[in-house]
Amino acid sequence: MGDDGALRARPGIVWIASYPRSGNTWIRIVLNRLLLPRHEWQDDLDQLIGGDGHSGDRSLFDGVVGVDAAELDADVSDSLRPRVYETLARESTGTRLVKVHDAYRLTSSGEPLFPASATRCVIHAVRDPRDVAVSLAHFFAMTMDEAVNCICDPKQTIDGTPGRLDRQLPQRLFDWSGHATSWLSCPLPRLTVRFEDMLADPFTTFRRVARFAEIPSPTSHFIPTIEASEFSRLQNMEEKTPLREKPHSAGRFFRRGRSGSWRDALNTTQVIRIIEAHGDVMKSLGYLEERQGTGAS
Amino acid sequence: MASVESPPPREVGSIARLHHNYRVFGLIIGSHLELPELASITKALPDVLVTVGGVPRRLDHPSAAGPLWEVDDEHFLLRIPGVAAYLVTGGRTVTIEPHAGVVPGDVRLYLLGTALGALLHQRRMLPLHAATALVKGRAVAFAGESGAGKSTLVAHLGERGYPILSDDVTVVTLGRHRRPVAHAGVRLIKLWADALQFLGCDSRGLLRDHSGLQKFHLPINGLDPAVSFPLREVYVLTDGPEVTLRRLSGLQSVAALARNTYRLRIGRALGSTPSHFEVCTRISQTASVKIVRRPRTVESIPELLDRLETEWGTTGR
Repeated sequence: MGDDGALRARPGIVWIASYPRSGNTWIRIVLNRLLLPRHEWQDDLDQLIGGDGHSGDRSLFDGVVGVDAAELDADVSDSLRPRVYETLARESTGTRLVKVHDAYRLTSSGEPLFPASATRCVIHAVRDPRDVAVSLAHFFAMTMDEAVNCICDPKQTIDGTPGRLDRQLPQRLFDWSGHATSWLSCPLPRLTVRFEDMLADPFTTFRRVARFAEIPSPTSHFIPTIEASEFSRLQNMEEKTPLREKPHSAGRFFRRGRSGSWRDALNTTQVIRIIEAHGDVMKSLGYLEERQGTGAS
Repeated sequence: MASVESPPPREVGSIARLHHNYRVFGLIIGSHLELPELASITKALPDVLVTVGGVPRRLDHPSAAGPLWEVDDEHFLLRIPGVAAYLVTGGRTVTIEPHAGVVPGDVRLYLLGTALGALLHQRRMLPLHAATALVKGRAVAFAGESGAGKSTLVAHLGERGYPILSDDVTVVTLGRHRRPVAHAGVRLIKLWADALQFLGCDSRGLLRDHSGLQKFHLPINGLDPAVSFPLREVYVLTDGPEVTLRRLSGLQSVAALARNTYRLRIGRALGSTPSHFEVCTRISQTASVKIVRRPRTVESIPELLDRLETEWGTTGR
């Protein structure tokens, strides 16, 4: 069992796009396992997903462009990123997964950052922003207030620290609902899945994902894949070998894996702030019932 | 290996109009432009001419191209938006057409970076993406991707008294008995503001690497630019939760060296791969190549260097 189906799949990159802490890595683990025969499965998460591209990978940019992003003006390097993705798509065989935290947007030269010509499809993962804030706080060792500030900041960017060279290119997130809307309204073939559904019904949810990504998932392979990728098992694996993707000081990728834990972690003011900033998109994604209110105890 | 001839007599005559002479990577550069980053020498017959002049917008029949460059049998053409165009020909000449009003340091940035890299590939001189220091008269190279920490590490070695041979690019050729030797490079280290601070240096008065960035040039002094040294160790820097070193097998070494070639894609397009592969193989046979994993923090630097000094037998210099 291998990536035979990809011979018939559309060419181009499968973007796994999400705001941070929303199930991106989990999806890639499942898809990578589906793409590999069982005897090639690793318990080392890094080996499993380490081959995935990262849209903000500096070395990818530098290698393709032949001039370091760090040597170019920010708007010049921004405008070259679509060329890098086109090259990556052109030179990839089989299914190429690329992790994306960037919001979908146009570059400084007015073209899409993620070109249609380089794209097979987008798997867009979302998660209740209240849980995202809690998860962010743990992962980046921030206070809850700082985490809420992040998800409410339309200028929020990953990396791009002025005094040093970060491993990744700056990735603009917008605020949580700006990020969600950018992908929900992008013109690329897209499937949006909720982290909460991945937790509640992984078989159905990941099956939809695999089908949309045109990754073959015969039942005999699919069922063991989902079982082996159950959240607590991923937690165990991460404990043994921390992921290379992880910023040095960060917490675990697979911390708790629960939805609704925000109720114990956020105060009323923080919850109200999030709903005021993001309520419309939360509602459209099913995160706010009419009666739910703030849900504070 | 392809041999590269000296410029024909007609071009040599134009030396009279060239004002500046430098040596870098074992090459003598005659230049229209001042290149303060290079070691200045008295007039000598140049291997390479750097002039200012017209550069074509496109090559007629490029054999390969990237977003900013094109290549054919003889030429490498690089266009940096808003800065300059560079035409590198036959490993012997570089013509630069700068935009009006451009900052000279920016023109030099790409000249001494990608354009020089292409020239080295054309001349079949292997450019490793590595910073190199001298330990007991031997070259020790630290390879890794941009941002891996090569320059910072080597700057700290400089502080500990080890002469620095080169910063971003280390050129390796085969010398006597086909033993790999590393050549003295550009006479400065490019460090980001944070790294400078950790070293205890002040960025005031230092040239900025690029007019928009917080990256600075720290001058390296005291090494005769004409010399080259046997390459004995290569450390490939990568990330990890703690400091570990692991020696690579011959095959793994060749792969790691090839992967850490400066401007690899451009070199491939210029046909330097077979020649470089040969040099990488010789390095793997005569030098030790190790993977170094460590947290990418300034705090891990002293621990790593202490460890290396123990290995080298140079603790307590």
